[in-house]
Amino acid sequence: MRGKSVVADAREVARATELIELGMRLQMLESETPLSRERLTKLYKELKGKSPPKGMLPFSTDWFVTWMPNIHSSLFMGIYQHLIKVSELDDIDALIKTYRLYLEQCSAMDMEVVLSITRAWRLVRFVDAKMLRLATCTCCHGEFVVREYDLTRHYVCGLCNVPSRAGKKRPVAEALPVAA
Amino acid sequence: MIDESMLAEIREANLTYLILAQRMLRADRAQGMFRLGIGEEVAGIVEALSTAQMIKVASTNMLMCKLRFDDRMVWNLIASNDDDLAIKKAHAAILVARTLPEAA
Repeated sequence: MRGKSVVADAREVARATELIELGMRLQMLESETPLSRERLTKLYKELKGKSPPKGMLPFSTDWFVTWMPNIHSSLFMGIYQHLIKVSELDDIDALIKTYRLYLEQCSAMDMEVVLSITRAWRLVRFVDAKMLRLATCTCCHGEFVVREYDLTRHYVCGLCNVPSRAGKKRPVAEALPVAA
Repeated sequence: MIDESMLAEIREANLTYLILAQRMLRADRAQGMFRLGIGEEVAGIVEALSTAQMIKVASTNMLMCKLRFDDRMVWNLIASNDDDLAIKKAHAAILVARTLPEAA
């Protein structure tokens, strides 16, 4: 891979292009592709017409367990695990394919896209790192994202047991996580 | 007793289904398998079918695609006509994504 193969390099650039178009942040691209930071920055500017955003990536696991994000995260994770199980994809390809299916699902349901690709990537990482996991709802038997140490023996998901103020958010202010 | 026109429709549905399935698998195998809800083995077979084979396979008196959800919960969710249909659909999608093909 590192041995300067032009074909491999072209493939990496194509992949990075796809990821940038899906809205991935530069920090993640750096860890997911072997391309150098300068090249990625250049690529980013060329594709988006502006410099990549600076600042920290979202890092809280709590966001994924709040009501609406949890629905989207659980949907994403469900698709991701399905793809991983039925086919042999490497992580980043599985992420891209899952994310595309997720976007499709959102538009089919007329729902706002809540999970950005950055969040989706974090989600997969959090699950790998065992900070988040999936628990089965005792009511509908669907699998939902929960924190590692949440008690889940009698777990009921937010969709079977909708909290009283669920979905009645102020547009952006509440949807954004409080960085913990 | 089923009449001749219905048999013709079954054949037609079978063929359309097979052609679509094959196109989906060839476009993107992993996503196709997810959408079809089939496993690796079946995907391989469908992908490799020639047109002549597809026509032959499609001409039976049985429908080749079957209703995918045998879960009452899923049906209730997708068939409901509430105001928060989007949420119901999302719930159904989560439940469906979980179901893996039997012969994976």
